[in-house]
Amino acid sequence: MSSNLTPQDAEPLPDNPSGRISFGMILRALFRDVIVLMSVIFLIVLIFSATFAEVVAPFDPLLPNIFANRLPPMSYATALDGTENLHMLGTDALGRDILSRLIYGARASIFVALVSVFVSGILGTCLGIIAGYYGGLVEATIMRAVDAFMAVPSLLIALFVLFIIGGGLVNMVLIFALVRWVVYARLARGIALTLKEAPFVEAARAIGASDFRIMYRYILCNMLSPLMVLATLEVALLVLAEAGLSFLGFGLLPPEPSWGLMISRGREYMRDAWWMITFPGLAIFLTTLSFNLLAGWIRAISDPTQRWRWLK
Amino acid sequence: MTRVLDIRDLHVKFSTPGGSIHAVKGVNCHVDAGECLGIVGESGSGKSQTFRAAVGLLGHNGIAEGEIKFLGQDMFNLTPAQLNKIRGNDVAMIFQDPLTSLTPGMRVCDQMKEVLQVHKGIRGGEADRICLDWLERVRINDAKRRLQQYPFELSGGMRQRIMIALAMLCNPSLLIADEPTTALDVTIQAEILDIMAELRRSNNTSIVLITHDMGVVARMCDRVQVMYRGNYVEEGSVKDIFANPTQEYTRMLLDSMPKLDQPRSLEPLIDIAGERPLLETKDIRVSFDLPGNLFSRHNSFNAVDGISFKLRRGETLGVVGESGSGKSTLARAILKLVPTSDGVVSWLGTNMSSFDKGEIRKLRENLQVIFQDPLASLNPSMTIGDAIAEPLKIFKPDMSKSDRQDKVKATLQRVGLTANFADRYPHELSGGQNQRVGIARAIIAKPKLVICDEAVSALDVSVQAQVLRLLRGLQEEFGLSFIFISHDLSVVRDVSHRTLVMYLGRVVEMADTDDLFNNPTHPYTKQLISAVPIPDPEVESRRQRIRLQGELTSPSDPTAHLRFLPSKIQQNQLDYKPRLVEISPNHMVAQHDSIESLMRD
Repeated sequence: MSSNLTPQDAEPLPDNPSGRISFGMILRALFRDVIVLMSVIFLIVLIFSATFAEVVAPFDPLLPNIFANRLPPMSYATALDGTENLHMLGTDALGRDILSRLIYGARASIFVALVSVFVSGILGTCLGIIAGYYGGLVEATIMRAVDAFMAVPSLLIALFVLFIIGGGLVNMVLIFALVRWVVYARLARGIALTLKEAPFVEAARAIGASDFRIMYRYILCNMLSPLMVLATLEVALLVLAEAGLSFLGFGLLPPEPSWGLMISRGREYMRDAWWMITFPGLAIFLTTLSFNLLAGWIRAISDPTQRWRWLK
Repeated sequence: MTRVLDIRDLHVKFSTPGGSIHAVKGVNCHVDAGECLGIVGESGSGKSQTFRAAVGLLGHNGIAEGEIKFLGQDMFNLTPAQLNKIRGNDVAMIFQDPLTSLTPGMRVCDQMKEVLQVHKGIRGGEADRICLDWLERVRINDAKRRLQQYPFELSGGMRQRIMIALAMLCNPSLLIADEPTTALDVTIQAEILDIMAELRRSNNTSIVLITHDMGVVARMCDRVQVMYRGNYVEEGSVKDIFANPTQEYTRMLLDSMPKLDQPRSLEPLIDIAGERPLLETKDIRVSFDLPGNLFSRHNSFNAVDGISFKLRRGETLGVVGESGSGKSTLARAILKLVPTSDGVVSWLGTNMSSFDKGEIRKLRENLQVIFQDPLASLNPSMTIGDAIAEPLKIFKPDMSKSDRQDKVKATLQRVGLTANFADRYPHELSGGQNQRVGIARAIIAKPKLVICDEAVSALDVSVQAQVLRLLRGLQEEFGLSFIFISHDLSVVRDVSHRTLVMYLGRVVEMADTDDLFNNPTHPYTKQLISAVPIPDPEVESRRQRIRLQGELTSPSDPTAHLRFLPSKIQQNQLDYKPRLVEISPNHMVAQHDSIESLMRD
């Protein structure tokens, strides 16, 4: 009996291509799904124009023109310096260009949403994994804190704190990170509890892997897919929250452009100038919808056992 | 002789997102009244799908073509309502996992009575009487009480008996049993097979027995069809197939099975005088707390209850036992994955309990493990290459990346895989390939001891044979020691130098493997060995089976450890624990009453 095995002894390598995925494969999968593709294009355009607002926006968003107030979309107005300007989405009550204000307003919305999701996601995931993995007193402490945060409506806390310390970009990011980490902590703890008992984690312990290594390579790496979905949904939620807080006057302060503020100002003119609240409302709606659609797609594509259905 | 089932040129295809899969490719087979047809094949051979198609139970994406006649009716022309009338009435099925095939939220009696009501219109007291009668016929003890219980309250063996009773309620002419005993322990398997054979005799029911186990076929069947990748490769009477297989594949299947009745090829271990044992355990115990109530808080039972053995360098110690015997807990205790509550485990003479966390981690470099489920024990988000490299990253952090990759490639080749497997993920590989990956991961850091916890149980016989050969080769090459844990006695006999038989956390017999299998002394060992089916119909028909009273008792039963020493129960010495007695050099046997007094009448 031969003691050595030849490769022919085993079954052949499956030729179903997967292994590591390339950027090109993701692109091809994206092009097959038209709705997600449109959302992605919308988000790219949005982020690009927000980043390069100075170049993209046709006018200064803060420049009023009192003689050209409440102009409907696609109307021309003579500026103070005498040039003829096309206001594609019309102007607001002070004669400021709505398109330019939307582009600058995207900055606030996207910045606040992305940065707060990033900060709260990292904080919540770390605490959740630690709670789930170690259990006992550590878990009890962290999870009771989570329960306490969950028990109070997060927007209410945000309102209260922003009322005391004042609005503004940085304060909003801080407050969102503080109230939203709990959702990641809950999810991460739940998954960590299941994965902790998985045979491959026991195998890792038997190999001699340290606690940190197990938490990072064996637990965190296997929950990235649901975490990414949650984070994407949270971005959508925070865009809404930012708009809401600004609408109520606790977020950005006028005259800074923000979608929520624009709706709040436009509300007074709803009867005779529909465009003043329709376009910022549409911007919020499309952004939220795009992030939601993207979240569903990410879930499908980031699971190594499922992704072959989309990548071919 | 009437023909019960006639299948002609059956094709089964499945449409999947990856394209169409041709699972069964033009199969012909028939079942006559009162005969037992064995369908043998490895996983993915299409043996189950053939008969699922025959009774119209294919998955929603399956398409069947061909001709299937059951008692003269064309099964493909029947409406779903007509099929439902036939299923459960004229043809019944039993599946591998009796827990998932019984409805969890329904009491046993309700499930059984439903069948009677639907097919025969029998209800009330008459139905109760029939149900009770059938439960008694499948030899369930305490049948009246079982009728009122839910499936989760019953053991695997009892559930399978209930499945059989359920299937037989309407006296079907055909019983299709799909791996009915694969999930059961050997002694229970023997009981279930006996019941099925008896039913066949008394009711003239035809049986189709789908299995991967040649031993079961040899014990039960008249005729065999061997299936491979959707085709029948060979058909014939049991005697012919076992005596003169004409096809290469059949011969390979028969050769792959380790056989209890044939000599084995294992080099005896040369004793080096004065050498310290690699691993020594003295009286180790592992106890688990049971959830108590307000009044009894500290309820615990010993999953491992005082086990001592020595393991030498290059030796393989086989550990056999049925489910619940504590063999896996023993492995986890040695690996320090569960804490021991008592006793000493020493590694090369040093007591391991004195080690701190860092020293234990260092020890793991020499002490590796291979688990039962190859896919579940690999991280799904790590490539094969990364998984195998893990021990190197942990124990040799200064190793350069290219050295590590070279080592991974060499190890992959050593276990019979090619280097291009390194970029793949575990879910893309077959069970056998994944188990090779598990082995590669265990041996890459050159350990001294590898614990194999049911390492080949989930694999097909041909793959199992390859993996066993690989393990033995590694032992010769590196002087590895193994602790080989399995419920499969023939496999343990094939690879072990010494064998230890466990029952409810205690050793009942421990001896050199040849000694143990040639002269089993403890009644439990005798029962186990006699329950293993031998893949040879000649030998099978001549064998005398040993049946002991009772089944595996629950560990929480206070007299469970005295099952083989009931005289102490009669003397009311309930705390007495059977001691190990050395009956000949190196052959230890737990105290027991005479086997005649324990036999079932």
